[in-house]
Amino acid sequence: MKAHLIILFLLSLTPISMFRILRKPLTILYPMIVSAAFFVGKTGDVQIVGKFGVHLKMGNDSRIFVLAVSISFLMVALRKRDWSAREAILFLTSILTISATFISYDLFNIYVLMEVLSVQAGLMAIRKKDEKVLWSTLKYLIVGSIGASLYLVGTIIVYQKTGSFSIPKELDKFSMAFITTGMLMRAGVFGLGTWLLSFHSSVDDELSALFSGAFIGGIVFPIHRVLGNSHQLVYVFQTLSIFGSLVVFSSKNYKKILASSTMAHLSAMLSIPDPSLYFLNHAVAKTFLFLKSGDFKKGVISKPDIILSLISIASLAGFPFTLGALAENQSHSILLMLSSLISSAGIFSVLSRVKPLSGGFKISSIFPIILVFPFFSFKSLLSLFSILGMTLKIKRDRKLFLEKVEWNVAFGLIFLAGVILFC
Amino acid sequence: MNAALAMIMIGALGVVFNKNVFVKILSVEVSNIGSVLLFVATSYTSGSKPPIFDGKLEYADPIPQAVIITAIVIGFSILSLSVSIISDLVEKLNRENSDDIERMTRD
Repeated sequence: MKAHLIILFLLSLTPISMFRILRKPLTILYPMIVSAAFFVGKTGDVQIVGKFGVHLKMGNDSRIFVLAVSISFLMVALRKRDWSAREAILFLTSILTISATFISYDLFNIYVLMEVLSVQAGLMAIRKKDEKVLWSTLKYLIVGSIGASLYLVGTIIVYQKTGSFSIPKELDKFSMAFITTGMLMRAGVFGLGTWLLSFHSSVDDELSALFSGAFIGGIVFPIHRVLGNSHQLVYVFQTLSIFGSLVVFSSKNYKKILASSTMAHLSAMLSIPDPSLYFLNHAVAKTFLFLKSGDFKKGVISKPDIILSLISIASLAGFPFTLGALAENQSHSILLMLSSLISSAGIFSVLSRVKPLSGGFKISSIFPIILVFPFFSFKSLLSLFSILGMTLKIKRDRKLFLEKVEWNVAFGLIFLAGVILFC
Repeated sequence: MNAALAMIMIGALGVVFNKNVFVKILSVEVSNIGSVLLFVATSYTSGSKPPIFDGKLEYADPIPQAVIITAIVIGFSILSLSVSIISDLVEKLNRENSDDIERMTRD
């Protein structure tokens, strides 16, 4: 395992140095190399440098998360044409940071990775010097930093009780409250992190795809590791998912609709026992849909892309014969089904307005095909009819006050008090 | 330790109640320093020495003090990034009030 980690570290340095020499990056191949390195390696625990060292743990779920992130990065790398040195280095290091989150089993290490990821995301976003981007990035940093402070309180409580920063088997009430609230503010669920709407919708298409597809994995996975499979907040997350999906109707902007769908799916991922397949499904579908947002804005899209978009939306909604149906089936919750349906209905309503154009098929658009999965579930068939019904009459012109930073932090504090009082 | 928790809460409430973006960032920093203080305060036990080896055995716990240096550095990097963003934003919009900025950057 240690040798494997060293090889991974060396692999991570190679493309950065290659880029400095070649200018045109080998970044396209890079996510595949990292993914392959993770897949070849063994699963298991490793503690680097004694009791106080960093505890790493790699399970099968980590592998699927790495695969999903790699596919998302690969799709963006294939699409993006002009690379500056700074962009490429941020791109490469962010893959590593997210991948490291999937093997980390140490609370303080997770904190560092989350913060590094947020700085990387901020630096990537502000390449576009637009007021909207600057303000949304600032909101993200403010809410995330307050969340990080709360997270650290939980971490030190765990350290005092156990004498180590490793994730304990069972968290006590206070540490769970602080850690969960901090992470949720950083994650971007409804209420505590509605900065996600403006942040994911205002940046460039490629970055939106990365943030919604890959970056959220860097927070979903640690939350699952910390809370464990059976926790008391499942119903809270399911309710947040429903509220998140309702935000779809607050805007006519296509990217904002996609961002609110991300918000709903993020909460849904937190509420199911094993989110790895759900995350894979969401990462591929959402990356594809965000990458096509330029075409959606123009109102014309090629015929193959329409079919692939439909596959992505169907998979997000959990339709039969898709990966989404398989991922959703592990939780028999009507709330989750509803939230995924509502958010997909919003995206579908935009797709129904675009004009099909006869155009060629690009190799970079091939990925949503992996979402078609031979799986059937009756409730998904039922959802086909309900989604069609819902798209007929939708009013989407209400503005939300909830996007303000003040509300995010206030909700965070209320949530913290609620968890301490009632859990 | 209570003072550290109070600082974190004061910082969080500062973000909620202040409208000036610079004050918001300062509040975030207050909250961040509160968490640093918490780490240092919890590792201290009454009568113990600083964790520098001089042959005696009673020391404050060095682990939280060692790891919190990372948090200080990260906090500073986020502060500097935020301040640079704010200065760009204020230069473009000529506003410091967060409500005004929110209104001007809406769709």
